[in-house]
This record gives sequence, structure tokens and C-alpha cells, in this order.
Amino acid sequence: MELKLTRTQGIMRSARYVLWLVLFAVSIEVAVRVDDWITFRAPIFKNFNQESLVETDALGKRGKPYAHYLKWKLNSLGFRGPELRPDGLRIGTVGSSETFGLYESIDHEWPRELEQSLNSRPGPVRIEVVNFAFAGMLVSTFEKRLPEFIQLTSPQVVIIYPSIVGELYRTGNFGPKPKANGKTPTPPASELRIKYRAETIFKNNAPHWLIDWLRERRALRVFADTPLVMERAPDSLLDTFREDIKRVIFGLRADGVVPVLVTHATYFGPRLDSHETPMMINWRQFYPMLKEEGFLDMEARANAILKEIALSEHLILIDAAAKMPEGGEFFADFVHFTDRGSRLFSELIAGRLQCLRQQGTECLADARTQPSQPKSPHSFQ
Amino acid sequence: MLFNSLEFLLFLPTVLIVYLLLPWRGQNRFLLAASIFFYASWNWKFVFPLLFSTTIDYWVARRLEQLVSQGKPQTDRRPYLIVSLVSNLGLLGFFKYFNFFAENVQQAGALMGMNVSLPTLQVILPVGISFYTFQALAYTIDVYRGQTHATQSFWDFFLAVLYFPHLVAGPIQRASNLLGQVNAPRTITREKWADGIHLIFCGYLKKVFIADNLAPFVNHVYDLPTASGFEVVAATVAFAVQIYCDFSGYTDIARGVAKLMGFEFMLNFNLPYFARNPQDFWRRWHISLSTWLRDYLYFSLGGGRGSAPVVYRNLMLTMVIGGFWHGAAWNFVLWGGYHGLLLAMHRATGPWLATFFAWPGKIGALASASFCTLAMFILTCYGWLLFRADSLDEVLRMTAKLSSPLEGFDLATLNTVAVYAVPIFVVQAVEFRAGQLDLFSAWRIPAELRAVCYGVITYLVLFRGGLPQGFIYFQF
Repeated sequence: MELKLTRTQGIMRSARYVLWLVLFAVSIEVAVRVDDWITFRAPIFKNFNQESLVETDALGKRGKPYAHYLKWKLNSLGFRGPELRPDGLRIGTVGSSETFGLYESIDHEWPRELEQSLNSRPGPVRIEVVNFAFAGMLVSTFEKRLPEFIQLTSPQVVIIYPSIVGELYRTGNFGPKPKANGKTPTPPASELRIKYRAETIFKNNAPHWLIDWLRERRALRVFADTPLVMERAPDSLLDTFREDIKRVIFGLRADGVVPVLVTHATYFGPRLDSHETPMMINWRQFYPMLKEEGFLDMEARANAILKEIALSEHLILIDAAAKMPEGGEFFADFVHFTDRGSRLFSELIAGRLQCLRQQGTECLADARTQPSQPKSPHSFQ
Repeated sequence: MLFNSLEFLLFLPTVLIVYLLLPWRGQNRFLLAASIFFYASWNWKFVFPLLFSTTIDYWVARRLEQLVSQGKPQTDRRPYLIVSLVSNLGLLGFFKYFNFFAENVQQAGALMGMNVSLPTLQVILPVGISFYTFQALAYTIDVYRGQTHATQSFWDFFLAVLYFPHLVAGPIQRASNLLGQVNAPRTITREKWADGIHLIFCGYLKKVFIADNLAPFVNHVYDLPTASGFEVVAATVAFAVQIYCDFSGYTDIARGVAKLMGFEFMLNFNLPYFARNPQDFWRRWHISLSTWLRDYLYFSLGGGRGSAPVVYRNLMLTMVIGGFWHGAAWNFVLWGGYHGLLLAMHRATGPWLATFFAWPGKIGALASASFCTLAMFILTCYGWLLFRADSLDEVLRMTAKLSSPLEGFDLATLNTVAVYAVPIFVVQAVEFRAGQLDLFSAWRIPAELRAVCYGVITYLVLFRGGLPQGFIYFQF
């Protein structure tokens, strides 16, 4: 039996327990940082997160050469994937985080799957797929980078898988995009590295109802802080999207590159079912300026624009939005693929482009020509 | 609900908080409810065979106790013991071995040109059935032998069998040990909590960081018909480390959790890979099972008394049955027979070996001890190959590969195993030299440094652990 403690002894003991807990927590954080240093050569005292994968120059963001964060590894040119080979037919892929790869296992993001799928088909032409994408890349961002990417990689074909939601931040002054935890980005120095990893473990193991409930709570906080909420994406946003796409196509064709358009697929398919509402709320917390009902309408309008452009410009169009099955088997969240989804998506594209393996770009001759001059660029800002 | 699941990490603190707030009798009732919940989380139907087994054993023990107090001879008590044996072994045989026997009878019939048709059962093997039936049997045999008293309370007995930390994979507790702790208030001290927390951290480190990280490599090599000789050697050593860390990790967690509640479980592993001979190995590996087999089977067969052939027979029978206890497959029988053979050979050659290895001087003693330890480790590893293989064909294929151990040598394979195996061997070598299983206590590591070490362990377990795998011994 333990002796009764005096008040002072009790306080001292409590203080020791607190000290042990602090030491315990600090040593976990230190272990994460040392491990990051050993594994990724990450700086111990600076911030290290997904932002470490990109750098900013006069043209905006781009992938940072040799950057390595957890499963994401960039090559010497700042593109996710292996170093470029000197031979073969080169296909570039343009898009946002869906194309860069988020939830898929290493080497299962759709550009890698596409390369494997095409090369597994009969034909003499070796195909190489270069993933130009990074998280948050807009069509307009790519347009600025186009000459640089073409000079670096000389692609013969570029597949454009554009996401329109990122354009919403161009419709007004909404401040910085919220992070996954529902708060606006914090200064780098204050970020604990164990936090992201602990959240990932929690998301992978906690019951779905609990995750949905927590997401909804966070989303409601974000929505409450958003002053301007739109029922529907404005036509001007879609017009900008159209012009951005056209300029990219014009730029690619001017350099003799064949553009290929892919419509944007989502977890929800064409309609929002009632059981999909928690996922939609989860999506909306990143773009709180648009009501839930507006998202699928915006997606449908953006995809209609892609179809319209493909028709008028005689481009190859792959209607992934119509062909990808909806739901959690293929989508890990609202737009990002699971391994299975990524494989199916790449098969859709590979099925349409398999002639490249046998004939090279000759088989896409129709899509290479007929450039049309787009309107002059303008911005909402 | 596995120990390495999020559910258990929520379950345990909840149980602990409520447990510590309750008086002793309330603690027992609450623990029983928590243990039923824990067990039913696999499948609520599993509770019924366990209830059946414990009800019969409780009743048998009470009757045996009456007969012992009346001074009745063992012959009068024997029918009751047989009831317990038949019900427990019948339960085990029904769930675990029926399909195995049916399949083998059919195959034997086919070999002899007969068409024997036996039904196969579509039943799920209740988790931990091998462990709790042996524990219940030990209780009735002890009461039969007059070595312990039957408990008055069914619920206390039910709790002793069902107590969740040891329910599914042991250690197989003796009734005299655990019932005594259930029947009296437990003392919870800071030292017990410190030991318990230490064991839990060590257990998770062994299981999640070491065993689960080695499992994919082992599985890959065993599934690869074209594995090179070096890969087979590496996988065999890796499996030796994996199964030790998996099982002793589970035991550490079980013992640690029990300590947090004031219970003491018996030691189950004592640096088994530092054994110098087969007998020494079985004094260090799965001690709760090996002592069970010794006390209730080997001694019942006659033990070491009688002529040499009789003793060898007893050893072989004990180990073959021990092997068969692990699972309804011929490779477990083979593994048991292999260890029985090692034990018999050691018994036959022990005095000669002792003389042969009595090398003079300190260096001589160290060299002979090291040689014997290494030789025993190699023999043990081969036993694990028999244990891990899925079929006799696989045993033959893997054994053939061992004849060219350096074929396909590559540093990456070596590194895959060494990065997990070397640290555990180094730590255990230090423990072996120090004669202590808990270096933190032996070296009086201050609590502040312990907190740092536990932080690092938490990091390794949470963020560097392998993909979650079930505990190997849960299947038994």
C-alpha cells in the first residue's frame, strides 16, 4: 500500500508525470524528424510536408527537382516518376492532384499505370509517360509552364485531365485555400510532423461514421467563416476555363504536340445520391464558396466545354466522366483514385491510345493539325 | 479484437479506468463482462463452447473436491476426470481436428482403393480454443491430484479462464496461480504499473515493428518456388525472429496488461535462442505450454522413469502431441516429432556431449557455449522451416535449397533480415550476459530516459511498423 502524499509531494509527482508525458511526446517528434533526415535528407529544424515537393519561381509553382516526401518522389526535372529515357514516344500528362497521385500506392498513380498498360500492348514503339502534374496545378499554370516542359521533355502527346474546382479561387477574394484540417495554412515553423502521420493512421483505422462526423464538424466551421457563398459557378469562370484549355491546345499544337482531352470523373457520377452527401461536404470544405448542389453542375458544364472543344478542334476526347464507375471502390475521396480506380482510368486512356504503340503519333495525325487562335487571355482578378 | 488494433487501444484504457474505480468484487464482475465482450468481438457464438467447457470443468472439479475431502481413492475420482478430458478434448477434436481426420481417412481409403465418404464440418475454429481447453484441463487434473482446491464460485472460475489478456494465446495459466489472484483483492503498485507499461511497449515493438516487418519477406520466399538457397536461409532465420517476436510480443502485452490490473502471469519466454541444447530450449520457449506438456502428459506417460526406449517413447509422444496441438496439419506433427527426436538424441548423448564440450579455460568455455548456442539455433531454425511450410512438398523443396545456402547471395536480402534481426539479438545477448530480462530495471534507467525510449518505440510502432498481421499463435 502506498503512503499518503502531502500536498507538495502530490504536486511534485504530478509535475513529474507531466514531464514524462512531454518527454514522451517530444521524443516521438524528434524520432520523426531524424527518420525524415535519414530517409529523405529532410531538414531537421525546418518544415517538411507536401509543400516540400514544390518550389515557386516567377511563373508560379512547379515540382522541385529530387524532392522526396513520404511516398512521393520527384525526378531531376521535378516530375513525379523515374528519370527520362532517351528513346521512345513520350506522353505528358497534365492535371492536378488526381494526376500527380494522392492515395494510390507507389507507382500506381494513373500516369505510371498508363505507361505500363500501353507498353504491355503489342507494338514496337516504347512509350514513356511523364507526369507534369502537381497538386493544385491549374490549366492556366500549365499554360505558363508549357514552353519549359516542352523544352525539357519534348513530348509528342500531352493528355490533359483538367480539374475545374481549383478555378473557384479565381472568382473572388476567398483568402488561402483551407487545409485538410479545415484551418487556413499555418506558418511552417509551427507544424508538428507527427500530426499528419497520426491523422493518416486515424483515418485509416477509425470507423467511417466517426470520420464522417468529424469531417462534417470541420466543414461546418469552414463554411461559417466563408462570407460569400454561390449557388452555382458563374459563367465567367467556365468561360475562363474554356479559354485556358484552348490556349494550352494552341500552344501544344504550335509545337507539334498532339493534345488529348479527358473529361473529369468524380466519386459521385452524374448525380448526388443522399448517401454521398458526407463526401460532398468533405469536398466542399476545400471550396466553401460554392454550395454542395453547385459542384456537380460545375463539373458537368466543364466537361461539356471539353467535349465542345474536342469536337470543334478535332481532338481525341476520352469521356472518363461517363465511363468511370462512381463510388468508393474506384475513388478514395471525391476525385482522387484508389489503386483500382487509377488502373481502370489508365485502361480507358490506353484503350483509346493503343495505336501509338504500333504506329507512333502517325495514328493521331488528325488531332495534330488544325490549330485555332484562342481569344486573348483575361482574368477575373 | 487484436491487440494491435485501434479497437483494442480504445478498449484497454476504458476497461482500465472503470476497473480502477471499482471495488474488488465489482472488478471481477466487470472484468468478466469485459472479457466476454472482448471474446464476442470475434464472434459471439464462440462464447458457447467456452461456457460449455468451463461449466463441465467447474462441476467436475467440485465433485472431485468432495471426493478428495471424503478421502476417496483416485479410482473413484477417475470417472469424473474422464468426463473433463472427454468434454475438453472432444470439443477440441470436434472444432480443430475433425476435418483433418476425415480428410486423411478419405485419402487413406483412396490409397487402398476404397471410397470412404465422410462429412466435413463447416465450422469456424473458436479463437483460443487450444489454450483455454488446456487451461481448464490443468485445473481439473490439479484438483483430481489433490494439488489444488476447487473454487466455490463459478463466476471466478469463468473469469480465470476467460480473462481477456491470456484468453486467446496464453500464457496457459495454472489454476492455482490465476484463481488465487481472482479470489483475492489485487494490489496495484507504481512498480507494477511501470513493469506493465514496459512490457506493453516491448511487446508492441516486437510484434508490430519486428515481426510484422519481417512477415512480407518470409511470405514472399515461402510463396516463391524459384527462391534461391540464400533466400531460403534468410527466410528461415527471418521466420525464427518473426515467430519469436510475434508470440513473445503478444505474451509481453498480455503480461503487461495483466500487471496494470494487479495480476501476475507466468513467464512464457526466457531468451529461447540462447539455449544450448534441446532441453534448455524447451525450458525457455513457450514455457507455459512446455511445462503443461511436462506436468500433465510426459509425467503421466512415466516421464524419465523406466528404460531408455520407454523414456525416448515418452519424449517423442509428448512432443508429437505438442506439435499436433499447434494445428491440424502434418507439418506440425513433423515439427513435434523433430523436436522429440532432438530431445531423445540429447538425452542419449548428453553426458558424452557435456564431456566433449568441456573445453578448458574461460575462452574455451565461452567458445563451447557459443558453439552449442549457434548449433541449437540452427537446429531450431530448421524446425521452424517444418513449422512454417504449407505442405510436405514445400518442406522437401526448402530443405533441398538449404544444401546450397550461398546460392543467389545478395546484400539487399541480407539487409532486409539483418535490420530487424540483429538489434533484437544484440539486446537479448546483453540481457543473457546480464542474466536479466528487463534491462531498464537492471540498469536503473531513470523514468525520464524511459519516457524518451517509449517515445521512440511509439514512433517505430506507429509509423514504421509493418502492415498489420494477425498474431501467428491466434490460429491455434
